[in-house]
Amino acid sequence: MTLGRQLLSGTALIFIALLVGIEAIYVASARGNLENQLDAHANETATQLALSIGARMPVIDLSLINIMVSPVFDRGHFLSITVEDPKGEILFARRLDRRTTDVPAWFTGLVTLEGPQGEALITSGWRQLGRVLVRVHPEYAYRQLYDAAIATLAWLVLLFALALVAMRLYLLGILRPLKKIEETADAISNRRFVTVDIRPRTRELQSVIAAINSLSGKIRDTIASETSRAERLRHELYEDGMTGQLNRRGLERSIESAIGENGDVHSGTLALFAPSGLEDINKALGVAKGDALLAGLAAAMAAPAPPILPLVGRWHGPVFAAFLSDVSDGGAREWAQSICASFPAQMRSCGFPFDFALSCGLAGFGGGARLAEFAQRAEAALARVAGKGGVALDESRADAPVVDTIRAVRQAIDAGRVSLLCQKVLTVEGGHPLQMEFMSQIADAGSAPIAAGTFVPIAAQLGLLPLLDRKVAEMVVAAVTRDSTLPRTISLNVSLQSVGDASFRAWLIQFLKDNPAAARRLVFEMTGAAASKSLPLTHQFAAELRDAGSRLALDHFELDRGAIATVHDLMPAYLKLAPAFTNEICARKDVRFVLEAMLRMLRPLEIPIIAQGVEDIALVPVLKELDILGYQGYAGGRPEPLPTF
Amino acid sequence: MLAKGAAACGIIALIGTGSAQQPSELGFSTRVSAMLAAKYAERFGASTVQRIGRWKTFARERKGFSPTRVFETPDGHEAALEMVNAAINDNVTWKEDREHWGAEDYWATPAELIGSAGGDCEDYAIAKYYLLKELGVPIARLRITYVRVLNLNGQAHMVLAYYASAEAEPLILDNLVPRVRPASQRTDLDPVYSFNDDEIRLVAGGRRGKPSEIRNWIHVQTRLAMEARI
Repeated sequence: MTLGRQLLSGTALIFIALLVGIEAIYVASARGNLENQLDAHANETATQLALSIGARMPVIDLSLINIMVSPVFDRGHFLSITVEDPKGEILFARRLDRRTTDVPAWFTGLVTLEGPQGEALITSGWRQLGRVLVRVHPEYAYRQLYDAAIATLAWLVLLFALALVAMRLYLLGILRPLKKIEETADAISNRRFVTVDIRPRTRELQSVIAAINSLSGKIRDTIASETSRAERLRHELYEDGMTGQLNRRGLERSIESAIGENGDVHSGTLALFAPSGLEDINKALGVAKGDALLAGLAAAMAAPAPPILPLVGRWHGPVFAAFLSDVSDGGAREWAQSICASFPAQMRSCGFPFDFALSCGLAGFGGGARLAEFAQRAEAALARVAGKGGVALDESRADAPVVDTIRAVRQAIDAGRVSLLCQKVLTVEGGHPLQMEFMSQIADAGSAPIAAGTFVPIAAQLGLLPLLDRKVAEMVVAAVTRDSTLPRTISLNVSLQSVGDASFRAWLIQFLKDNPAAARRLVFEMTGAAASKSLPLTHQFAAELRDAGSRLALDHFELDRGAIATVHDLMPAYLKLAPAFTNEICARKDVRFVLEAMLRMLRPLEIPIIAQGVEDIALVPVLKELDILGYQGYAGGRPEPLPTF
Repeated sequence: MLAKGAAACGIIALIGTGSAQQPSELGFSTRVSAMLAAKYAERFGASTVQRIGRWKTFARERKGFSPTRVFETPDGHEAALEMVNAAINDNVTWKEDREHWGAEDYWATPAELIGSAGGDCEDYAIAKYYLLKELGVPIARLRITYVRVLNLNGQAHMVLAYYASAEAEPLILDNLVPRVRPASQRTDLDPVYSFNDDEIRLVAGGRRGKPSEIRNWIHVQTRLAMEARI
């Protein structure tokens, strides 16, 4: 029961007690007044009768008494009128046999109203002839008392209702800050460390708000400081200090993530730029000038030239790389030529005193290509023009998937030749099953499986991922419903392409709502990079999933730019660290520092971490040290066709 | 003067056979404290204390005195009543309300009447009523009675009537005549209305009745209660 309701019912009870008390006092007082009136009435009537009887007869005359008493009695106000002789013998009496009253019995039972008796002496001269005893009928008084009691009660009930309404409004005013505090408390328990921005007049609430704000603020400060620390370490690890662009490691990681199985880049070009004569410049003008040249080059390369949005990093020494996604060879060559022509001229016009040539090697790639392969081709192309200036394009782009493969993928998905693989996720502590991740696998017409690395990029290019994800979701829900031995938490992947498809989302949410028991167990995983790329969309998808009972998590999580903001915004069910990240933890101290900083940042948000790509069981103790909850990889078990836990 | 007729006073004990109710002692001389006497002395003069003292002594000495032989005849009643009648009549001078009390119609308490040694007919009747009650006479036999005095052009007057029994002819204690007389001998008086209800009595039905509704009588009761608290 809410505080407001408790206060209101408490007040209502007090009011009721007061009203009952007031009514009782009123009825008792009215009853007292009525009895006094009845008493006076009885005495006056007795006195009048005694005087008139005494005046009319020297001796008792019963017929005369009858004539005098009956008209008075017949007015109906009296229960009895009796005339006694001086010794107390009854000479004459009139009585009403029964009390006729239309007042409810409960009232007459509750409130007793005696018909009082009046008495007067009948005298004739000095002689006492007897007494007149008059007892008043309480009927009229009862009626009057009852009507007054009911009217008073009605007024009191009306006042009670008005008082309750007033009390309700008053409480609403007083408790409004409490509502705000409750919302904040809810937000904090959902790990959103917000503050209460009102200042109530109630002193106690002020203290509560101050405490909440202070606590929330401290946690927020901690998160902020850990975030900036993680950010700084990430910067040191993945970015080039001189130019502010990515370093080789950062660039490679980004490219691999973009073109990998979970990425969304399926073709493009890698461009390597190198200015000539840098050593001479350094010698002649100093290293600072040389560095300024390189910084200028990096900036020129990174400048967006729609539709080209280059991802720039330092390759090695004076060589800078630009990764151009979804660009044709011709478009890439044009772009490279324009930089090679304009950059030296631009430097000269800015007063750079040394002439130099800018050379560029280009290598295009298609679906399924590996970075090492096309980087090598780009380097070879650059070597051809190094020192001379100009652009060289390596034409030996790996073949696009053959038409047969494309047709096979399309047919497999259309025909529903999709099967599920599942992989256990185990707890670091004790190796217990934590969850089960389901992955899809497709087969060609001859039932031979097509490798995920092959079919996912093709399916993505064909726009078939929503269809595939839908099929997988249906199969997973069926499996979860069928197999009671599965772990409680079931995870499955969902592509950005599917999330961006409104009809897929609508179908999925409805499907989950139709299968609420299974939905509560499902966690949909998006890659960290995909979520960062379309944060508002992902945010909306997460809210829709929550509404349907499921949750969203991020996998292949790396400390890219914006990754931390993504986590804060989405508050995912958990994070799965990218295999590349996991495998460097042991090998590289700096990576480990970054991870530790990230874990410290995540701790107040209570987001569990799972390491992906754990191939070696020896890594598990390290994960334990780092307070990582679970792990997934060959060390815990390969993806298998059917779950047997 | 209050000592007059001491021998006859035992009648009071004779006729005073008890009521079932504990009678109220308001109006009794015993309820008049020294402080009240002193207070009335400031109002009525120094001799007030003395007069009140004599009244208290008179009542105390005659209360419960029971020389039954004196009162075995109806004449005995008369003698006892004579004593009380004379005690009040002789110690109080008749004075008009306006002159004595400064009010149009003022009913004095016994202490006021005796303390001021003055009053009019109802003050006499009231004082006699309470003195007889204090000495033990059941109030059922006593009735303060409004009368018209026929030989004074029907002037309103008040006397105390004593009924030996309900049917009996009453004896009249009056300040206009020095002796107690049977009603039949008081042809100059025409009785109009009588009362005596200072007693709280049980009436049929079990609830308590209440004193007379007569306004002046209620005022007397109120003042008696106030006097008893001083």
